[in-house]
Amino acid sequence: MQVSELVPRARAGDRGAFQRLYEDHVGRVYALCLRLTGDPEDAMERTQDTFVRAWRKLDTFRGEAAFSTWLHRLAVNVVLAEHRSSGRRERRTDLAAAEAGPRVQPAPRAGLAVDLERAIAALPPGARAVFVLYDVEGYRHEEIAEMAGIAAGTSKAQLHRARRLLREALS
Amino acid sequence: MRRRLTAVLTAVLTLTAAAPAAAQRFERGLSAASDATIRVYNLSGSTTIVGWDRDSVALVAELEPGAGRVYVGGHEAIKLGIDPPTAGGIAGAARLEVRVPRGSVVWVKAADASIEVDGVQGGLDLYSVTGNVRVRGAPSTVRAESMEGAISIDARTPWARAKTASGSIDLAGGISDLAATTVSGTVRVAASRQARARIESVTGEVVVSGRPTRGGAWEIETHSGAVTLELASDTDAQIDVHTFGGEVRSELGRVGTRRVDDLAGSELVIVAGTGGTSITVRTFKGPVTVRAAP
Amino acid sequence: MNCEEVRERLHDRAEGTLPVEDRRAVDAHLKTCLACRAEASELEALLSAVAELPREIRPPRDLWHAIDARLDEPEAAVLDRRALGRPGTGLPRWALVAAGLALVVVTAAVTSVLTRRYDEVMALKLRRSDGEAPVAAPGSPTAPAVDQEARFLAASQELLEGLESQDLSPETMAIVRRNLEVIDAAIAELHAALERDPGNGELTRMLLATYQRKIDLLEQAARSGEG
Repeated sequence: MQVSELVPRARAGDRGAFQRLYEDHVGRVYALCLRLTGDPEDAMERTQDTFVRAWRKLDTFRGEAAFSTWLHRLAVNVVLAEHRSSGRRERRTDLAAAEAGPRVQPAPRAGLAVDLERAIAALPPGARAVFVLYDVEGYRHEEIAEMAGIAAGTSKAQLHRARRLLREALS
Repeated sequence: MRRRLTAVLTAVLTLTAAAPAAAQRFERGLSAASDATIRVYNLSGSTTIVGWDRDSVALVAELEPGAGRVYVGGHEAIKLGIDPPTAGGIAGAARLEVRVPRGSVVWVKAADASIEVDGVQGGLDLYSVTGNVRVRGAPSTVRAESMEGAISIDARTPWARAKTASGSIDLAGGISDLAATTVSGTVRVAASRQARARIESVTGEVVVSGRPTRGGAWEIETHSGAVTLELASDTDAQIDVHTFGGEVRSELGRVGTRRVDDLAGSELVIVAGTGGTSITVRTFKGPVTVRAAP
Repeated sequence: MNCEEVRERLHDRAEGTLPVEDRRAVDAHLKTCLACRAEASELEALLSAVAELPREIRPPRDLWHAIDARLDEPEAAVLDRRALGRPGTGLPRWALVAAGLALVVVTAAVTSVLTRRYDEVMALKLRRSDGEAPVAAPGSPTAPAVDQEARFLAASQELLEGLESQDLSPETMAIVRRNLEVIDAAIAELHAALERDPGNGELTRMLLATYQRKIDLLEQAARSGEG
């Protein structure tokens, strides 16, 4: 099956085509959800939610934007909506649980990426969301403001706070 | 203590409208409870209801040929109006003038007939399809609907609901809780003592002018209808505008937060004075203009 | 420029969006200030580390089976609570309205074919994507947006059918048709916008409000035919 056929076939109800789309995009979606939530279990639930919602909303996707962009935006809305409505206390991740505190010990270059992910997961939720959306995913402050229901100025302030905390955690 | 006339009239007047081409005139009266419920039926022509200080109903009807039959009956629950001819075809028009006790609750049904009510203090329910609806005075509640006719309520009332499809809606006079709903009609509201105001349109234009009272909550929602707020320069209001593609212009107050995103929509907050009244404008792509009234 | 002013500008500088004059001032300060220089290079290190983060991460478990199972569920599993309609636009009201109308399916010449077809197509699409028509929970204040849309469609379908079985004047039907076209055009625009930004709560809210305009119109027309 050609990639370009996957979306129309999935729209027509072809479950197999939709599974292919899932396999092609789950990595991006999970990465986004994991970094936004800071918790693998939450991230897996949000990833599922995203694909289930995508299946239901496929009818409204008429190919004006790239499917991955559309799916990505859906994932962000799913995570942010769930975060707003659940009101749960943030759970420390498995990754970050071993840390004694917000400061991460300096590590050799090879481990920097892992330490960075842990440091991101350890950020306070608001700062983490903005950091992931801006620096990792490339959304603009105005887009983040609209998606998260905050002011653009707040988004910028949260970003600077996140970067400062990460710098401190990694230095 | 209210004095109630005890006579119960169930007279039904049957007068044929056959024969002469000239309009026929009928006058009838009957006693009525001071807070009677009055249901008026006149599909074609015009219906005018005026409140007076008598415990009786007086009806004057002028019928064109083919208009149908006049009837009136009841005491606490009064039914009157024109019974259209059952033989189909186009019914002739009838002009109805009805005087009712001031405290009456009045219900009027029309097709293309216009409806006018003045001086009634009970609740009003007025329905036309293409006729205009006009309300004056101080009714306790007003519900006015016309699909294509123009609705004009200039009255002091705690509660008013106006609904059209394409007819215009004009509201003024002091309505504490108002709602206007239309698809493509123009809505004009003279703001004054509103505690709550809700204006909804799809493509119809919305114009709010005047000085909304401090502490009021306004919600204006259109799809593409233009929204104009022409407010007194000393108005205290916080205006929250949410739009996806519409242009927003403000010549009043100072602009607060501004979030712009061509994909997810923009929000603009305008604060005039100390921001005492809350006005929320939501539109998909209608232009929004806020300016000081001349 | 003092250290605080410089530190505020380091972010824009790292992103390359600092205006030229500010850039010169900041660079001049950095030449002589060790603390700010350290901060600037730490920021740049952070941003380049972020740029090297993997774009994809495979989940620890395979999620497909769980997703596959949920695709068969009748009700939408994801609640976007931001997208709830206004209070009073949920199920109970339309249920009451529908109960008051004759629900006779009209087979005679239907004059509002354009609108019916659009509604039928939309109703079909929603039903198919949900598996089956959502089971309504009366008075439920947390109905998902998809369910609400399906209910609005069902309600407007029934109202339309009810209208056609009433003996409304041709003039009234023409008014209804004209205004339905206006509303349906607005609904189509909102759907297109939602496709570009799926799950957008504000757009969903506007869509449901526009559906309510449709219900208002059809109810008003139905009332005009009653005695």
